Amino acid sequence: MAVRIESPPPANPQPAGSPAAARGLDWFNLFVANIQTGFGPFIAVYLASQSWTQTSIGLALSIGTVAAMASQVPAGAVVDAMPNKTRVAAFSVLAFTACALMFAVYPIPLFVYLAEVLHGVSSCTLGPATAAMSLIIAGRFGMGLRLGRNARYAAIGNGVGALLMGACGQYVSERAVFFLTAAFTLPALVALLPLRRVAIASSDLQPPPRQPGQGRAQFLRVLADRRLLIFCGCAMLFTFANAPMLMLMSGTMTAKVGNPSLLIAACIVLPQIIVAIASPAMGRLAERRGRRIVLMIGFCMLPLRGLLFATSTNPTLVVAVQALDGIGGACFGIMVPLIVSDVAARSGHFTLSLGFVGFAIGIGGTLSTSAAGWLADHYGIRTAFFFLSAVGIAAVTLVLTAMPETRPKIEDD
Amino acid sequence: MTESCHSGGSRRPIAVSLVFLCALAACHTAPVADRTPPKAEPAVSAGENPAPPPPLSPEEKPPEQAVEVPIETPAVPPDLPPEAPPPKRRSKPRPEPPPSLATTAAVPAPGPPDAEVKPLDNSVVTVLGKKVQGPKGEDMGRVVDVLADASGRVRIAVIEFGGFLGVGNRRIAVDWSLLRFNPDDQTRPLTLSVSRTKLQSAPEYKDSVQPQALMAPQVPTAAPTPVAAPQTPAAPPTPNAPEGKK
Repeated sequence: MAVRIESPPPANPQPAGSPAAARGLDWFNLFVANIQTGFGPFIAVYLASQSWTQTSIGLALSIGTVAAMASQVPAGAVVDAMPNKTRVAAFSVLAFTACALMFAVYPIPLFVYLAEVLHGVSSCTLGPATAAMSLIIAGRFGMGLRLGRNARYAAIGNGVGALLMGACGQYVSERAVFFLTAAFTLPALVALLPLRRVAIASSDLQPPPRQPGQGRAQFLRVLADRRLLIFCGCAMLFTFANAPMLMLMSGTMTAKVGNPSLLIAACIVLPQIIVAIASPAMGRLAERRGRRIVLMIGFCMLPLRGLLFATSTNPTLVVAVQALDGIGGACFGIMVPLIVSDVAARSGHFTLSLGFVGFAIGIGGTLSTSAAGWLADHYGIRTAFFFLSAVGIAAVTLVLTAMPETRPKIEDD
Repeated sequence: MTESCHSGGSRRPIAVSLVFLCALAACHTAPVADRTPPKAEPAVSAGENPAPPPPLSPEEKPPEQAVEVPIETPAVPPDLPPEAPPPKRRSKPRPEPPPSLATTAAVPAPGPPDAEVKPLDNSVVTVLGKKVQGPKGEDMGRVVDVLADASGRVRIAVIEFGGFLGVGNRRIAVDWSLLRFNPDDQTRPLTLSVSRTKLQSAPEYKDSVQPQALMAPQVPTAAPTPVAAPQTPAAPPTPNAPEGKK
């Protein structure tokens, strides 16, 4: 990976974090993305191969969803309260090891449900902890560049992980996928080693000295920040329109194409390549030109994709359209932690706010998968895509009309 | 990282989160206990078919090719005694269910004599989770569900195939008699006598809409499944009136 260490812009008042720590965070993002690939929809395939009934599989997946949704906000609060974010990240990864091994070694209902819960919860601590480490290393003014790098490495991890695990599931065994997942947690832990000593003190994450009697009011004030609430709405609409698109389209592809697995793999990996290429540029753009423009670029991809999918199911076109998903994904992936850090970095409730946005995203994703599936069943897949495009247009409109610019000015400090 | 976990400062938050975790785990693992029974329920189709027993509505005669017809649960005449045979579906442990396991409607029908324990020979195979291959040995996914009618006879296998890492899978319901079993080799996939394109383009099996299935042609030539032998192909005019009278 020909990635230079981009030095933070001169405006950065607090250049923190050694190059070693920055590189550690790069690799950490990569391996975590690797790990998360195994815990995706593949779990349903694996459990089916273990003679699980469809009802039980549905129950297991629902348990995971509910656990993740329920723990978003509390996990954010817990991470806020932890002084050492690296340790939170390390424990979350260890929890992933446990989950993967439970799946691989002994997939009885008790362990599978337990693993689903554990994975849901530790995903909710890991994401905010990673964002917090990024903020500590890069500072508030270097955050856009840092998040661009995070997204690039995560995309590489996602793409490589999907290929490796897909091949593993196809040619070795479904079970081996989870052993591979467990194995990937080891390098993730090693990547954290240079980050052991990053500290909140003197970083942009350090909360202001708290005035007495202000505790709860402060907490609510952060979450009730108008910018944060509007962004939650945007993020929810984005996910609502985005989440079911690939699912709907790949089902159609399976019905039509000679080798659906290969085509769907392309539909998954190509966007990751685009994300890996585009993310640093998007992060830079967000620092130079502001957040709104990047948000607009990313959000505009949604209606475009939906309309193109609605008009054609030509396999080549479908793969090409997936490139737009890469651009949208790059923008969105960077903007979520970036805007939250703009709004809440120094409030002492950064990761709580992230959890709050994560909750909104979770709601959007959960609702839309059922809604789009229902629409596709009853009114055809075209209608479903038109509907998702309409939601995408609503998201664009919300960004355009209501979302304020959140890029911090130096004099804010 | 491990060295640092003993510093006292952040002990409490860890403990708190652990407690939280355990609480979550506890409340979600509770269903484990009541999860097992459904597995042992004979009426597989009950959970899947939203409209349970529609009245006997004779269909038009099926075309000669494998065709799609809506799945219907034929109302079975009540003269069949509600025998006690256990479900067809068994997960891998396969302890020692009564021998009637796979021969559901065959022998022990009459009367109330108690079920008894007998050794289970090798002539039966697990179906759920079994891989399926096409006539030319191509990969056709795996069986994820089986649907039985009111008499307990298995009529439909639901096959899931395609996709990549769980994305883009399709579920197709196929006639049970289209499947060939290879009981000699427990690890061998089942064989589905339908071309891959046919399977691919069949309508997806979903609970939310009127489910459809790939049904066997009218008079199947090949031998039917070893277990459910007499009944399955014996339905001359309509696939919906296979009364299965012995």
